[in-house]
Amino acid sequence: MHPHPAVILDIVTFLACLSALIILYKSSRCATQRGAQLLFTGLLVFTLLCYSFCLIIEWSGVTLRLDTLENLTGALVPMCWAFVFYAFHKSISEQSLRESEARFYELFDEAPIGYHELDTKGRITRVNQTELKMLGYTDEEMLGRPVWEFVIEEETSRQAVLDKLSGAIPPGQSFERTIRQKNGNTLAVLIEDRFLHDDAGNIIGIRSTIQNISKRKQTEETLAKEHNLLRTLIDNMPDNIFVKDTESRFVLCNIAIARSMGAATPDELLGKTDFDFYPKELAERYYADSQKVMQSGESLVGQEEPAIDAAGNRKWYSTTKVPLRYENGKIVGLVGISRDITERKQAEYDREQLMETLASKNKEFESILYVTSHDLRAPLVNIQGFSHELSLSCEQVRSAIADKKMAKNIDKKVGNALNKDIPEALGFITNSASRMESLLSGLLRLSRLGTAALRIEPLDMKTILADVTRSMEYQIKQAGATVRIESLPSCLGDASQINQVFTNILNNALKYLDDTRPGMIHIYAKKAKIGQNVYCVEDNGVGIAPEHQDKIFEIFYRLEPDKKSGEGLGLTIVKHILERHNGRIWVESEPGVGSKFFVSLPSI
Amino acid sequence: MNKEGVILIAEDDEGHFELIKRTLQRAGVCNEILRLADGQETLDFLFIKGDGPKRESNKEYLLLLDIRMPKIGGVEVLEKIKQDPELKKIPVIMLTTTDDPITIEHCHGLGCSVYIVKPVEYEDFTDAVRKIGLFLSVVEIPQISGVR
Amino acid sequence: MIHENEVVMLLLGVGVLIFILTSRLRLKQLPSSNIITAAFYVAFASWVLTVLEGLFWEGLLNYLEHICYAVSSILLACWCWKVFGSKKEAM
Repeated sequence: MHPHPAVILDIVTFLACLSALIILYKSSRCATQRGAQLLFTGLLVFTLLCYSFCLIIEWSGVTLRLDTLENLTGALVPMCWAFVFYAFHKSISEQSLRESEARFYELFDEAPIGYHELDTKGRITRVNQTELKMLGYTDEEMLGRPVWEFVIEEETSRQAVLDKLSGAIPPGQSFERTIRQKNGNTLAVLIEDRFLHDDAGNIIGIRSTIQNISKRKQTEETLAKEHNLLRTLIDNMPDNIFVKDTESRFVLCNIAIARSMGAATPDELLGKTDFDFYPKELAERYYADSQKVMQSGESLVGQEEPAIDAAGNRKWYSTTKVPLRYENGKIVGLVGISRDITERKQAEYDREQLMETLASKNKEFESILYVTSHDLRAPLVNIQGFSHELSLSCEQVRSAIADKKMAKNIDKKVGNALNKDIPEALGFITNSASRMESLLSGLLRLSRLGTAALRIEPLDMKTILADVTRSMEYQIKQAGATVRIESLPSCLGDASQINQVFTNILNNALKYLDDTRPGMIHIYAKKAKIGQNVYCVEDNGVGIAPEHQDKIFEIFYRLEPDKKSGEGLGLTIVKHILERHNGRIWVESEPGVGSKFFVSLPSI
Repeated sequence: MNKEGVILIAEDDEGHFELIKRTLQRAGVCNEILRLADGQETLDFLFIKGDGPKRESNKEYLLLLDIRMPKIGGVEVLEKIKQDPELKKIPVIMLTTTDDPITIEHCHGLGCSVYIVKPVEYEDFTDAVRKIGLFLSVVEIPQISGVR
Repeated sequence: MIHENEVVMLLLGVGVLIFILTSRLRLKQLPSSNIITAAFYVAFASWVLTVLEGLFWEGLLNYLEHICYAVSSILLACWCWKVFGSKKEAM
């Protein structure tokens, strides 16, 4: 028989099988695990090899008949395929099983919480790595032992476990226990139980999760302490402290605000609003303020507002409201502090009343002064006027007598009265009236000083004093004095009044010059503390004795009433003007040497 | 001012009135001088009211007015006079002890013709009144029309 | 002419095919499972062809049958090399 062209294919088949076999053989030398798979694959390949060999023989035309072998191997091939797939299938299944078991163990052992299982007697049958680490034991030390041996509250735990196992109590909520570590320390844990059942539904054990809550407990303790501290702090503060939510309901209050609103404890206020305590208009006002703060995000600081306390008294509070923000910046409410300022307000009110009373009394006084001094002048006109009339009448009588030749003795009697007594008396009357007039005039000027408006402006003292000296040029020349003015700093004041001040002082200086030496008047500035300028008018006049130095500022006081003119008002007016300017005047003087008058005025 | 013109002096103080009258007369004023004791009498006279003396029509009047008078004060009298369209023609000389600048300005604002402060010094006083007299002799005063 | 042994082969092959098809998901986990299943499908095809060639188109189907053998074997060899080849330990 000729070789069939398909023989080439069979040869290919043969070679492929051969190479596969070689690969498998090599693999079997190194690989360790694949026993079954290798075997069955090898078997398949070998069978195929034989089969393909038979085919080659058959189709190559060689007379050798391998029918039986061919049939046998042919039938075996699918079976081998089956075995191979089965072997692989099995190994895959086993692999999956192993993997899933491994995963389960990993899950169990490496769980972030402790796991253990108990049998019907409460003994530990299984415990995971986490729990072992938590307690510090090895599994041999824990397995088989009753679970309550590891718990501080041993008796409680034992009773609870046995009750659960017997079905007396169901597994309920999680509960806390303290467990004893191997090294003797204790650990606070949270335990949760589940029952293990068999197929019939009987309880065969308990599986528990153990959570280390010592950190949590610590945090709780710290939190409780902080809360306590905060609470103590806000409760001890005398001011009202509160926190409100976006609906203006109280979320937090201290004792002070509870008391002021008539509640027994701060908790009574929680969840309520101002509308539950205050009359409508007040509550609306507070609500509007709170809403504005929370919506605009701007704080309201130190707002003075009225309130009514629990007893119905009217009170004043200074309130500060600040928006409360979470970390993300969202406004969730506001924090408020309110201080009772009723007393302060009352004091303010009283003070205002006092000031008003003072102002009105002052006005009253000034008007009395004015009216008095004014009304007193009218009679003076008459006194003087009729004194003059009298003297005219005297003149008439005198001339009448001179005309008629009267008897000598009558002339003498009448003459005495006419020429001496009556004129003398009239002289006194007239002088006294003049004196009264000047006194009253002075009083009037003084009272008007208090009422005249002040025009405060920066003043160039050089100009002022130049004006003063110019207007007194004549008197200065008459007195034969020299006036020297240094450079002077500017000050704040009313130009005309300050002019008056220096005019009066200069007047005095000229009036009380020493006859024995030429008068020297020196005007200069002195160093003073911040905010004030001090000017000095120094003269070499007669000086002022120490006992007079205070009195010269008194109204109507004159140093030498007989020798010098004047009403004694000059320095009083100066003092009054300076007081209105927040300034001062004082004197240093030595009799026989001279005087120094110091004037202090506010600087610019 | 012609010789028939009447000088009205509104002055509550008798003494003042006497002094003024005598001084005027010594100064050569020979017009009739009429005293009005207070503000009320002055207004009654001018507005033709009340029981006292009343003015007559077609006469020339001049008023010397003191401020400090009982019942109605001089400033109010001045105000009322100047508000009346006829009476405001009467020249008013304020002659008073008050020398308060505010009052002076107020009176000028209301329309007084002259404001004189009564000096207390007798010499000055008589001098001032004499000058008023001289002034009166040269001033022209309108006639005030009919009684209403 | 249909040989009984060829039919037997086919029937056995069908059984294996059924098994494979039912556990296809599991078998996908095999390394290079595509190759070995392909090898089987081709082998199965050859068994089918062996039976069919007895009915019609003897020459062509015979050729195809042998081609299938060859391809199947080559695929098998490839798979063996891939799975059991040098330095591959775990499956």
